Amino acid sequence: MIKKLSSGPYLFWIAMFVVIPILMVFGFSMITTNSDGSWQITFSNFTRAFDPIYIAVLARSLKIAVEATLICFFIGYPMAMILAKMNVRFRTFAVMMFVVPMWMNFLLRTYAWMTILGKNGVLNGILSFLGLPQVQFLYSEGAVLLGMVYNFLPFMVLPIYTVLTKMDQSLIEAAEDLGGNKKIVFLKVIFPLSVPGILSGVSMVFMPAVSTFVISNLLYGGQYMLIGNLIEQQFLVINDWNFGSAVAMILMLLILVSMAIMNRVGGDNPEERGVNLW
Amino acid sequence: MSDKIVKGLNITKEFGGVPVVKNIDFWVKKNQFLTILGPSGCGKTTTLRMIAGFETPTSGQLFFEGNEITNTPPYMRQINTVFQKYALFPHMNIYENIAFGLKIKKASDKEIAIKVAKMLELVNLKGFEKRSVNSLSGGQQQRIAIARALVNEPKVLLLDEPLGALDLKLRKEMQIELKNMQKELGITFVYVTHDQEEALTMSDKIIIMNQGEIQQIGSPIDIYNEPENAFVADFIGESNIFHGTMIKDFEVAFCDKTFVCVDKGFGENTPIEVVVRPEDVRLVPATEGLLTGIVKSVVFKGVHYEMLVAEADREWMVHSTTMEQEGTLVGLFITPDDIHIMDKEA
Amino acid sequence: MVGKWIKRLYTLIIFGFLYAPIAVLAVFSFNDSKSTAKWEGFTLDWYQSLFQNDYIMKSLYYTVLVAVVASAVATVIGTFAAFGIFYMKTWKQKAILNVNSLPILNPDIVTGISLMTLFVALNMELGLMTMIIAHVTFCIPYVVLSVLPKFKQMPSEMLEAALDLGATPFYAFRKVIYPEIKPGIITGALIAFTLSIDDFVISFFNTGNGVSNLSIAIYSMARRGIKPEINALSTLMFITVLILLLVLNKRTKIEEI
Repeated sequence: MIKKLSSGPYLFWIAMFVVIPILMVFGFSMITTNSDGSWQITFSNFTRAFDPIYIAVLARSLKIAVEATLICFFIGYPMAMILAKMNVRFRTFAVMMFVVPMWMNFLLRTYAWMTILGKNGVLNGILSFLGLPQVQFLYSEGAVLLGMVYNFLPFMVLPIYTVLTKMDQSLIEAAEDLGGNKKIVFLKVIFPLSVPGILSGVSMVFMPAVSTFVISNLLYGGQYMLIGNLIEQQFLVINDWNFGSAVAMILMLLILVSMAIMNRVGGDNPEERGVNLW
Repeated sequence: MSDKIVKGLNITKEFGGVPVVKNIDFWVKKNQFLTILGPSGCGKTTTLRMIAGFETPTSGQLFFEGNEITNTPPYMRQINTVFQKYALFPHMNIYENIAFGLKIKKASDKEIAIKVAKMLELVNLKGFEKRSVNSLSGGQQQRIAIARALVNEPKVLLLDEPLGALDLKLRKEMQIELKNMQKELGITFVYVTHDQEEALTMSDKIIIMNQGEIQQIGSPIDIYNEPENAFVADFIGESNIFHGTMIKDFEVAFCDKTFVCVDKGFGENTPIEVVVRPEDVRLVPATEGLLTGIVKSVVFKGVHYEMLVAEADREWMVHSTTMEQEGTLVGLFITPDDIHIMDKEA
Repeated sequence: MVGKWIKRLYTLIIFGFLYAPIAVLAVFSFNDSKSTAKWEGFTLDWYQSLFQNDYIMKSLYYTVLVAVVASAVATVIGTFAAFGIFYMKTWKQKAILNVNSLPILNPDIVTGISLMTLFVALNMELGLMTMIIAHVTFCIPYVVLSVLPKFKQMPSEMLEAALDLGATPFYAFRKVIYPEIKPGIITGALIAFTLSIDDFVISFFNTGNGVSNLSIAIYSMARRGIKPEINALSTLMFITVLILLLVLNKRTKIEEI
């Protein structure tokens, strides 16, 4: 009895503030409101989302998110390996230092790049000091990409690092014992065993990257639109909640499906990664 | 008041509509060592948990010293439990673990200290007060679990396969210790196990369960010698079980032969089942046997040899202290009182 | 040997990349000019104007208030939820954990707009209350996920053992279960607190009426260009985070021994 009661408030809360709101957004996405206040069920919000302009937004979001994820992976994997191989005393400190920037406010981290890349920013200051012409770094796709890599890199490194440090050393020794050189040991043993960490890192970078509107807003400006910006605009500026809801449903579906696929690929132990989906 | 300290009437327990215990009646007498025996999933642990109060029967009534306790929560019952995996509190040391129940009863520190020390002595772990739970071996943890329950001076101690996690040698030792403790303290024990040998060694009375139903209640000797059905016979030790026909009183046919037996009252030409214990089959020269067969395999079991004898299209298991070579033609001999007749299972 | 130097150089570059922006902010927070390009001399003016900036100070107050209230509420609800979920049947447990992971997996922006939709539909005025509710909502799942494994690690039948020895359910929870799951509760509370402190997107959609947290304040100021007060603020925040982590690190090390 007590066992049942104790999860009551939680079940209420989750139903009220997680399930119902999502259902409401789904509902909004499926209706249009006429000028006289009446409404009807329709797919038009979704068909509208497949207009070329919006397809371009979606494609751009995916492209940048994939790029950011790949860059994070290629920069992050070696870093995770280096961290994992450090001697234990120094390692704890190094990992902590790696985490510190992540604990800083996300907005501040992004804002910092505004001051560096800006027209009167540090980089241009250096250029003019060197007598070189000024360059517009900010408000470019590259700036957005940089902001994403900077913000999300630790999310890639840490899961891979964790997997690498927890790896059973005897497996590596066994591979060496059986005649594997460094390259073979890495390709045939270390890398395959680190796949769960990679998947976890990939999802932790890709997810926020594909849905952000803050980084693009600050480092690119208003006109450049990722899918996140599109949703924000519909809800806060244009006030077309029906279309905004449809786009949000598409984004949600995109993320949940890609997570489910990742879990399938990664297989065995979703709980270890704190992710549990179907 | 009768001497039945725990009594269950028409107890049924369902989980999600699936009956696990089906309308059973049982009682435990004061100072008795009662064992509930059965294969896993037979409902024995559920029965124990209902006595402890962790589960409430779906229907039926439970009595403790004549008072109904069907819905009494566990902490209001004068019954304590020794859990299968010990369930010691890992964040407390040994002393605190044993003192847990006494502290709830608001016993004085002095009283607690004396009682805990006494208990540790009883379970042969004197001086372990300050040790942490994790520093103990399985056997030691088990003793602490017993001490933690006994210190509350329960009227009934429930033990849920308490020796299951121990190795064979330790298990044998603990069996004797537990039995001695029970005699010494004069506490009623209700013991759950799937180990028939354990049940036979320790118990005053055994309840055999299968698929939520009681198969037989009786003393170890009764159950061993007079199993009421094929399940009990099969479960209590290895047995040779054959289909047969009761021709009339004191005469039974099985294995294509007619035998004299000591059973009666089954009617005439009734299909029955016949149980013959491996140790009751004597190997004799082929000419002297009631049946003949060829030795298929011989395994040395320490005290005796276990042999499989092929007789017609059947196999007999025979325990004997003398060995026959594989391939030998032997005779099988059974005396009338070693033939046990049972009702055919529905 | 060459490999070793390459590794060191690589580490240096990465750490440089991570810290350069923070260092730039810190340096220019002392710059006697609005510029972030040229050094014009040392000053503490920006720190002074930071503390005199009502908007930022009020946002700081709301940030802490919301984080404390939301993480406390989420921790209590989440802990009891984990207790209940642990004793549920497997299929029910699975179903609930899947719903539980929705706010974690869902993009913040979807969580943000869906809550906003609800609040508007309920005619609730967006403000402090709605922000706290929103924060509790996205914090609870993390608390559940950090407490639940502790229940699973708990030796079996712990609760039964305590009840059997005469403990009432409440006493058993306090004396037996709570000490076992405490590390999970603390982790959950800390995660909830940091998530709440750091949140921007969900707060952004679910507040109003002049109530804003630091993230929102920084966002709205940053959109209007470079503000040296923000440099000062980030320097202070960086130092706070650093000290906090150092202390935490030391404490966990002592606990490990």
